Parts: sequence; C-alpha cells; structure tokens
Amino acid sequence: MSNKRKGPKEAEKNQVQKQSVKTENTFGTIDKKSNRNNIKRAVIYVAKESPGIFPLAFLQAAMEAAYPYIGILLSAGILTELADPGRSMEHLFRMALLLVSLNFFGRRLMDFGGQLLDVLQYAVLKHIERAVAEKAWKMDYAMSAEPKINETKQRITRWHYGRGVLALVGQLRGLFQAFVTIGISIALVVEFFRAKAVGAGGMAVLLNHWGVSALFLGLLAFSIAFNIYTSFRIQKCYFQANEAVHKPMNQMMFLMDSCFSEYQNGKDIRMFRAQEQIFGKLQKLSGEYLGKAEPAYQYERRKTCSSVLLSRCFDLLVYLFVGTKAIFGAFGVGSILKYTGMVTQLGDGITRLCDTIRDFLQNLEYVDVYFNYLDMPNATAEGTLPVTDEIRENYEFEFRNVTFTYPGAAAPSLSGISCSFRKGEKIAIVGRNGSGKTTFIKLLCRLCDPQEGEILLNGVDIRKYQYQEYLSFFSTVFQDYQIFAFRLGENVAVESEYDKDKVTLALENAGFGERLKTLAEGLDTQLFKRFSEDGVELSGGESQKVAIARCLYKDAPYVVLDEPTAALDPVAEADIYQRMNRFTKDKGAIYISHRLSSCHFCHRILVFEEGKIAEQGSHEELLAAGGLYRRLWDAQAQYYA
Amino acid sequence: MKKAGLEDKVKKLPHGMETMFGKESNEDAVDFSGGELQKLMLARALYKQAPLLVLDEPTAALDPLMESELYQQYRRFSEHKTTIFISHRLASTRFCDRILLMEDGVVAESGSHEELLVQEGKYAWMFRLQSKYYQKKEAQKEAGLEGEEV
Repeated sequence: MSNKRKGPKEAEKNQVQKQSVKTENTFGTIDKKSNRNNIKRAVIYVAKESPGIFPLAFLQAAMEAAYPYIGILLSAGILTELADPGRSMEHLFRMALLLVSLNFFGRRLMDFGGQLLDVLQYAVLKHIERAVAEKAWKMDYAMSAEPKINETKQRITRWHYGRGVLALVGQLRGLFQAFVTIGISIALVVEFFRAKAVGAGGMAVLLNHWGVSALFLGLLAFSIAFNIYTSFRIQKCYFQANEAVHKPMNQMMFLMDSCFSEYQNGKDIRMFRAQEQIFGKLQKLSGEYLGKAEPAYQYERRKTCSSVLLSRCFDLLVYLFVGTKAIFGAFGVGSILKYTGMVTQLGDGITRLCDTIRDFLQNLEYVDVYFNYLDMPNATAEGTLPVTDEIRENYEFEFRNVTFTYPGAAAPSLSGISCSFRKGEKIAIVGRNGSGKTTFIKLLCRLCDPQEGEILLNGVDIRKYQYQEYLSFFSTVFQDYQIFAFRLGENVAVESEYDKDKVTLALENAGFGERLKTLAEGLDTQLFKRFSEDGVELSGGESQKVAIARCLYKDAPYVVLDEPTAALDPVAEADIYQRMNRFTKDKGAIYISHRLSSCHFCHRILVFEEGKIAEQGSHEELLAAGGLYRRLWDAQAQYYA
Repeated sequence: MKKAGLEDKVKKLPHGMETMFGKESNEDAVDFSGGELQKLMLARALYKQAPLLVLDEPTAALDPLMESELYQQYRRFSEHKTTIFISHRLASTRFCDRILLMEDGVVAESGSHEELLVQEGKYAWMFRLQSKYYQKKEAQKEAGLEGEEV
C-alpha cells in the first residue's frame, strides 16, 4: 500500500493512543502551570454559572470567623464588670442583652447565608451534572463505550460537593475563614504577651521573662503541628481507601440500578427467584467496600484520640499560664476568658488553614480529571465538508478494504470489506450471528471509524464530511432501538416541538394507526410508567412500530433497518414490507434481517461470514450458487413448504 | 448451555463460565450479541428444570441455521415437560402438538397445524401470508398474491 494510505491510519492510531494516555495520566503528576490554569478555569467556571457564590462564600466565611469573638469578648467584658467592686447593674444588663441578641441574630444571619449558599451550590452541582451528561452523549460513540471513560464519568457524578470544581468553593472559603480567624487571634495574642505581671516577686519576674513566653509559643506550635500531622495521615489513609473502593462501588451502583430502577426486570427476577442471588451479590460487594473502608475509619479513630488528648493537655497549660498571669495582676479576671479563647481560636485557625490547603492541593487532581473529561476531543469533529443537496440527490457509497476491530477485542469484526451501493438500490445483508452485519452498518453511519480502509460517499472519505450533516443522511431502526419514557409524539419526532400531522402520518404508515386511535391522549400519551402513573406500556410489536415511525418521520435519503420486524406478527410484518417498499422507492436502503423472506424486496444481497463478504448477488443467483445463502434459505423455507 | 448451543462460545471465553458481564463496571467483561444472549436466556430457563417451560419469542434474534437447530433440539429439551412456545414465526408450530391462536384476548382457534390449515381460518391465512415469500415466484403468482417490484 502506498504511503498515502498509511497516513490516515497512522494518525488515527496516534490519536487513539494520545487519548488513552491522557485518561491514564489523570492521577499522575500534573505540572504547576496546568494547576494554576485549572484553578483559574475552575473559579471562572463556577462564577459564570453562579456569580454571587464567591462573594457570598467569603462573606459567610468572615462571619463564621468573627462569630466566636462575640461570645469571647462580651463574656470577658461581663466578667470584668462583675469583678469590679463598682459594678453597674445597668451596664451588666445591657452587655448581657447585647451578648444574647448578637449571638441570636448573628446565628440567624449566618444560617440564612448558609442556606443561600447551599442553594447556589446546588445550582452549580446541577450544571456540572448536566455538563457531564452532555459530554457523554456528544462524544464519539466509539469512545462512549470504552470502560475507562465510563468509569471516569461515574466517578465524576459521585463527587457531588466533596470533590472537583464545586469543592473549590468550600475550600477557598475555608482558606479565607482561616486567615480572618488567625488575623484576629494574633492581634489578641500580641496583646496578651504585652500584658506584664505586676510586682517585683520571683513569680512576676518569671512570668514576664521572654523565655516563658517563648516556651509557651513553642508548645503551642508543637500542639498545632501534631494536629496537622495527624490530620494529614488520616487524609492519606482515606485517599488510599477511596481509590480501592471504586470498583465495588461502581459495581454496586450498576447492580442496584439495573435491578431496582429497571422495573421491567422484575419478571425475570421473580421467575428465577434471583432475589437471593442479587442480595448475596450486594452483600458481597458491600463487604468488599467495608473491608477496604473500615481500616481507614479505625485509623482515624485511633489517631484522633491521641490528637484530642494532646489538645486537652495543652488547654490545661493555657489556663494555667493565663490564670497565673491574671493572679499576678497583668490583667483583670474578665480578660482570662478573652485570652484563653483567643489561643483556642488561633490553634483552630492554623489547623484549619493547613487542612484546607491540603484538601485544596489534593482536590486539584480531581479538578484536572474533570477538565480532562470535558476537553476530550471528538475525532468526528474534524470533518468539514457539507453534505450538499446534490449529494442527497445522487449518491454512491463505497467500502474499500475496510477492517474494524472493537477496542479490546481479540479478532477483527470486519476484514477487508469491499462493496458499493447507490441511491435507489435496496441491499439485504444476511449472515449468521456475529458475522459483522451490525458492525457494518455502524461503520456506514460513522458511529465508529475503521482501523484500515476507507468508506467513501461519492468518492470522498466520509471522515471529511461535517459529522452532524452526515448523520442526518440516515434514517435508522437499530436492533436495540430505545423507546424513551417520554410522550409518544416526542418519541417519534425525537424533539419536544414537532409537526403533529407529520408524526401522525408516520405512525399510521408504520402500522400504528389503529393503536393510536385507542390512546386517549393521542400523541401526548406518556409512555411507560417511569414518570407517570398513567403511563402506557407498549407491547414489543407496538414499540417496534414506534421505532419504525421514528425512521419514517426523519425521512432521510438513506434508510438502514436492522431486524425491523423481529417483534411483529406475520400480518404486521407483511404490512411493513409493503409500506417500507413504498417508502424507500426513491431512496437507498439496507435491510438486515434473519427473516430471509424480506430479501425478495432487495436488488442485491450481501452474505456476511466471519467478518467477510462471502457471497453477493440477487436472490436467484445466490440460490443457484448453492453456498451459505442457500443453506440459510433452505433452513428457513423448509418449514413453509 | 450445551442444550442451548452455547458450548463453543463458552469455551472461547477467557474465564469460561466465570466470565463477567457488564463492561460499564468491569474491564474484563464481555458483551454477548443478540443471538448469544437469547441462547443464554434459554440456557437459564433449561437450568431451572421446572416442569412447565414458557418460551416467548426465543428465536427472534437467531439466524436461520440456529433457529432451525433450536427447532430440531426442541423435542429433546422439552421432553417430559409441558411447553408453551409463543412465536410470530409460524415455522415453530410444526413442532408443537397443539396451536392456540389468540385474538383480542380470547382463544380464537385451537388445533394441530394440519387441522387449522383445513379449517381455512385466521391461522391458515397467516401461515400462507408468511410462507408466500418463501415460495417460488410462479407459485406466488398462482396464489394470486401481490408480486413485488424488484
């Protein structure tokens, strides 16, 4: 093959490799520059969706930081006044009132702010969920089926408020709050150390000595450092546990979804008494999950014990130091509350600062995963040629030596397929299960790209055409069509706004006309009971007619039908053959069917065998040839003799 | 699985019978084609070994050769059982002792294939309709049925 042929194949391979490398690197090392970009991007992303969220978060943070001091400072004031021999009841009363009301209103204000913040965060969460869903259905079909990408998607949807872009809001807020807390406490700490004990006695001198203050600060630093270290170890333990817990978590979610949400599965579950089996599996997965998570919980419990013990010992020290200084006249008794409070606040503030920084840094990895997911390029986006009306008027498709292997499959599903067909030709594709028929039409519709060979429309590689326009060229009924739990009309038109007459006509042409008359709400009938108690359950045959109506409604130049009558009774089947024949008069069509009787309607039959085209020709030619087609035909026709 | 015709497929799987389904949550998992799934469902029904076997369109996704195989095996795996076989493919009726034709919620006709053909009722009409496409062209024209433009 010439170098030109190699070109697209190499580029395709490289692209696939690049993409898979990117997803593998999601938890590898991320450089600093990309981190900074991610932070900027995340902040803009959230702020765009909810402009008020950051100002509100910071305001809330400032309030939360300042709130404890209401109690600290006012209690100190009250105590001072009480200790004063010349106390004024009125003054005391006023301060008490101020304390209570500030506490009350402050709390209410913060609660309100908190709820408002929750609402804003919820809005951002929904936006993220939507972005992830949109990405999932806009990405290339071939990629959406890849397990790794699916796994990433599942993980992102489980992050909620705790990780990723949204968690950034809480973290930035936490940082700000920590700074404010620390700022206020430092001011008080300085004041505390400035206060000198009164008197010339040994104790007073000792208290005033800078060494004592230094020792005190040293112990404070040690206590804080120990807490931070403990917190860090616990975090790491949880992080590791989280990684291990993904797989059972995913499987559990999947099992629960398919067994409990899909109520149609209830028939089989009851018939085969699968309840025990399912519960057994859930228990096993749950056990696996706990087995990996429990050690982390235990570790946290142990470490927290020692950490709390240390903190309380240090508290004791603080009370001693502050109290002694007060006894020796450095400040009034009221200030005891003030200074003991401030030390606690300082400790909390620094610990919170370090915890938040650590969360923040770790979270950056999740933010990176999220943006990588959103940024995944579509191979199909590269096509730019329009599918013009001329093409729609006169077209010919050609497969040139096409080979395709599903990702992770051992052998190709199609090898060296070469054939062509044009407008007006009706092609039947027959073959045994697994011979590559469905893969063939997937490639034709460009849901997947072949690894070797080309597919041409009017001589041009279909990858060069603008993707959406190319897709609009086909009207399809796939073997695994989906009827959604929407209204009937919406299911046919695949839109919320549609031409009612056109939809009704499509349904009638699909043989659904009689059934439509029995539906009280007509096109507005809600299908299935998922979202509506009055939903209508369609039978297999009825669903298939709706799928056919959908194909008719789209009215595209080329029709692709994969087992379109599998669920229909003989009368409806014969009816559809007639209708389809009329409908595809000026179009091109491909029928895949195991019911070889449909081959009579086709000009040409392609017989697939193990990924290759074994035979090609008209019905009579193939019967005469006595090959695979003949065998298939005889196997079926013998019962109708 | 042997009775359902899955023996070869299972032999080719990496973990044999322990192979997992569900590519969404498992990298090792496999995907079965429509026909293979149908065979698996049949295997499940046979495994239960209940006296009454209910099959609802068990050949809808099978190719002609597999379908024929199933009909041939049908006698064997429905031995000593009562079987109810629902199908739109009237070829299956050849292997049944009695046919019940349902219409609008009632049993409209009942009898063996030959008896119902003689009756010239709805069953006979449906059977002829489905067979017409398998007959030779001449026979088609003879029966006065519409020939299709090809």
